Amino acid sequence: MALGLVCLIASPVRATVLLPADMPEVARAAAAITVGRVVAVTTRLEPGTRRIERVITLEVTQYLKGDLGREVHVAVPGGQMGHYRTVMVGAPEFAPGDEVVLFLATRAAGLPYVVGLHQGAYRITLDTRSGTRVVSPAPLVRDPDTTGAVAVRRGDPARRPLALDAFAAEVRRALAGPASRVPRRAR
Amino acid sequence: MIRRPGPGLVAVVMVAACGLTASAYLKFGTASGGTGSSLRWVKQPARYFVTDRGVPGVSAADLDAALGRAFGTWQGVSSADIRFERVGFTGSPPFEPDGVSVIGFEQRPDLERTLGATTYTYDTRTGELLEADIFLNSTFDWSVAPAGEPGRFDVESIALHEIGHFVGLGHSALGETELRPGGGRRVVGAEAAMFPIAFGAGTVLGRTLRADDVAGVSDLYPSGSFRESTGSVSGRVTKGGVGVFGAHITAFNLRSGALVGGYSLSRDGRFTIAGLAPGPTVLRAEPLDDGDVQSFFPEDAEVDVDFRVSYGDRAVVVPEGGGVGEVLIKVVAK
Amino acid sequence: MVGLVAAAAVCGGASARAQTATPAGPGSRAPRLERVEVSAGASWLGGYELGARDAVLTGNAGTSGGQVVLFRTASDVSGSPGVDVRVGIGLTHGLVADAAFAYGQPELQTRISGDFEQAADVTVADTIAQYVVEGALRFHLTGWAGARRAVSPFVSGGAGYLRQLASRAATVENGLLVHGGGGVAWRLGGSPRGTLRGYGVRVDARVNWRASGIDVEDAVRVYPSAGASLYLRF
Repeated sequence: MALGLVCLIASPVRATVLLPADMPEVARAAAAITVGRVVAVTTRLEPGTRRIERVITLEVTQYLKGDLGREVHVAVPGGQMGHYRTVMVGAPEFAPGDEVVLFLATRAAGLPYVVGLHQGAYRITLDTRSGTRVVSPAPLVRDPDTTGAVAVRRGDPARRPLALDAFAAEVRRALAGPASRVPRRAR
Repeated sequence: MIRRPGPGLVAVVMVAACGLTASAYLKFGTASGGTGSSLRWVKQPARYFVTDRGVPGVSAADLDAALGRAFGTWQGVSSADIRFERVGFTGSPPFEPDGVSVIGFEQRPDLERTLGATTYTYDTRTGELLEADIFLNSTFDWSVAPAGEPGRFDVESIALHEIGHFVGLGHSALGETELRPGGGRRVVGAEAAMFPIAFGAGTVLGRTLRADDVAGVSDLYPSGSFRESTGSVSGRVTKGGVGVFGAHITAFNLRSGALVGGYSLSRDGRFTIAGLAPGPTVLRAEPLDDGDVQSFFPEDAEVDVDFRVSYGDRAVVVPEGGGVGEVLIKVVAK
Repeated sequence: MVGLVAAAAVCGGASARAQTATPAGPGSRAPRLERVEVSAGASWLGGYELGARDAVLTGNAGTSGGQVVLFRTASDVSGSPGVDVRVGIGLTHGLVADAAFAYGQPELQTRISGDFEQAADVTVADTIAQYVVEGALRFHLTGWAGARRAVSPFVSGGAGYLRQLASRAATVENGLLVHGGGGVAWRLGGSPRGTLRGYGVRVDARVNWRASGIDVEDAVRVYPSAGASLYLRF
């Protein structure tokens, strides 16, 4: 039946329900946190299965955690093979030339993968208002000086995409733990 | 009875330049040759198989029964005409393009924060759904207990959400979260089964459809009187006079208290929310800046999240069988 | 109700003429009492509360009250000016049957507060074009036709059909309006031998009960109104 469908332009789509995580949680779960550029995206069948996945080739310029080498291959669910295209809503999409920060987990068999799908993928873009390169989306990080639960309020003026060095500082602070007194850079 | 005096509006499926589109509530759509169509089951009943494997605490029969209840909840929406048929058990796993829709547990440690997911295979020339698979991640602990079990995720709640995708619905943004004192993030409240983040283990709150879910599935599969008994609101979200793409708009009916969401899905900030109960309604726009943009928009769309929450420039009275247009929601940058 | 009032006006008019006819002397023009009154005026329609409703999300386990308030609303219909025209037919010495058309533009106003995302409180509104066609009975305590006194107090009551257009005429809603009240008519002049039997001003106040129409719930709304008009009697 799968071959019979090849004659149609069929595009599998995926959608998910997630367990939510803030950036520190994703950072602690990651084996490596990379800053780099996507240089290639290829599609294949996941080894041992008939599932379609993409292999993202990342040229790493900086590690915020761990070290997987200068070039890293990352598996992401979905992709296009022949007449089949898989899209998972929630899985990050990449194209050659994209500058990204990826929170990656490793596994014994298989390529590294992005922690929490889109929750572990950030993009480096040009902020048109400031003219600086920033990391989007703004990370969900709890102010260590607050107590109790903190509502995530949409449209919060205090939550804005950070410049890369400020983002890196937030990651280091998150990895250092809640007791860290690493001073936060003004935004 | 609230009526409209003239021709009504229907919900608009926004068309992206290529590939997959998303439109209000959210519905999935496909675009081919410059035209778009909603991703939906044309041939009914939509048939599915259940994998013949269980997990600790949930047997294959338990899974089958829970899925039956969840499918029944969607099929019970009176304003929608959607029917399902359980064919039987299968040994095939979900997520493999084999021409049949399969639902079941699967071990996916690489998706360690994903409770469940749905895959579609569709004919992009016609938008016809050919196959849809649902997997529930057996990496987690599951339950089918009527009142839930501490530490275990409710099969029926997650299945209800995934079956919403199965019929062609995307995610709803009707929900709020908080950062927890010890780290991590938690849902505070949600008003749609299609909110992408789970309530958490031990709760069965996700077993009920809300107004937004009902509006969405009814818009995709309208029963006879749905269009005549509901209305729509259209307008624009602008910032400094320029359209805002990707704003989340909430329509709140003052009579019923129903909340139905939509999105501005064009570069000029236009939106349409259909399937609304008639009556006085207020509109609210907010950015999807809490980190979940890619959970709503399947392509790498340039979603504008740099603005503050704002309300429409006027209240509206939604007519029965018609629409109110030209509502303007002006937002300001953060 | 309107049909019954119209029928009474037709039947009562003849009776009024029979009661008020006077024998004509040779070579004289007999005085006639007024039979028809036409008036036009302005009014103020009082506002009324519609109630409050919160936009809520189903709360997660442990949430107080099991709900999370996304924002709060409180709505009302604002007071507004209106205009009306009226035709009255004298039925008896003191009783008049009226048919009236009125127009006003109240506003449906909703105050929004307590936003979860801390958006500023705001009031949004929708203008309602409101039309009323009604019938009423008016009884002048000191007489209406041929009244000697300049001041004539009266009581009145009636009912009518309400039509409301909202959202720039995208929505139409119909309802029923019942009212009761009273007022005073001041006769400023007129001649029993001329075409214009009388003219003056009339002021009145009333209590209105509105059923159906644009609302946030199925309720009968009560609101006051007051008006002043110029009348001509023929």
